[in-house]
Amino acid sequence: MSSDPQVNPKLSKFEIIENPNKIKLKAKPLPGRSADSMLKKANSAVAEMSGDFELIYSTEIELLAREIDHARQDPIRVGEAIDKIRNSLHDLRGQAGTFGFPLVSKIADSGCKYIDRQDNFGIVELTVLGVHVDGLRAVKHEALRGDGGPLGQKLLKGIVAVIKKHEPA
Amino acid sequence: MQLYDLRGISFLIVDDNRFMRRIIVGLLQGMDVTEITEARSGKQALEKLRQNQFDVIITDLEMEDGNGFGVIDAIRGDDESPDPMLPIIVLSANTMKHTILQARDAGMTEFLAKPVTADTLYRRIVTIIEGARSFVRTGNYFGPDRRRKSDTVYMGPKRRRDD
Repeated sequence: MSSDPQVNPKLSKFEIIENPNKIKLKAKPLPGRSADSMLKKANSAVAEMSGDFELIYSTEIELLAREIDHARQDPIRVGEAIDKIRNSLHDLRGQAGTFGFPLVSKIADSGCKYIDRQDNFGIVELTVLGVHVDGLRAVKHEALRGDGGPLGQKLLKGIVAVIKKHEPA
Repeated sequence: MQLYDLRGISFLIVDDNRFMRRIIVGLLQGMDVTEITEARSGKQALEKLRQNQFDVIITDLEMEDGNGFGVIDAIRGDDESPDPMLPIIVLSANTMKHTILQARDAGMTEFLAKPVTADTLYRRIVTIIEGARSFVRTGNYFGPDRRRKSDTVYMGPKRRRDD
């Protein structure tokens, strides 16, 4: 035990283990060559999936709208519907930015965080989630890429305003 | 950024979303990685880890069947872990501070926020290659040293005997 009074005895027992770093032994550096062209090739490989993403995006919008309707009509199924809505929004926020739709990521992220803050889901909460789905639909309809420009920002502000109106600070 | 030949490196990708796995596989293949295994759940990842050796695991945190924390715990803390020091890149769209700290304290090596690009992913891989940290074992933690910077003017309470 250290005699230094500043050392917390509960935290002071530790062991440092050298990291063999096996990956460093396997990954061969290619001196004098930049990674730029390789990264460009990797990004291009993913950009080719853009069409698939847009198809998935359309499908997810319909799934979200359907699950909100189910939750409204059958309160017993609310928990199950919210799980599906949360999963769908979580996937969209993770993928959309990769394909040039950061606005979709932002709206989906807002929806996920809104769900995480709620304990119960009634008409008000489902309405707020519905506004997020409307936002996602508008991005698709208006083909808003990037941050969506002035229309995209207006859309985001509108969603934030609806959340603020219905969620006590 | 330095170019590395990653052809000999094996990756395990863990994500319950098939399209997300396709994105990661596409990025890695674009980096000439050839040894890629996919798992669609934490449970399946643990099975793959028992069957094969990997150099890097890239795992989502939020999955329907067994979350990423379970995978990290099994790698770092399980007595039967095939490689407790396996580099773990956590890939998550949940970038809340408490989630990142929770992943750090579980023993992740690097955190990669979605949306992912070739640049961000490659940067994490290079960090693992070039900046591998020692491992630390305390009463309640086993994983890479959580101190990434040496603070020569740190004035707070000391936490280690060697401080």
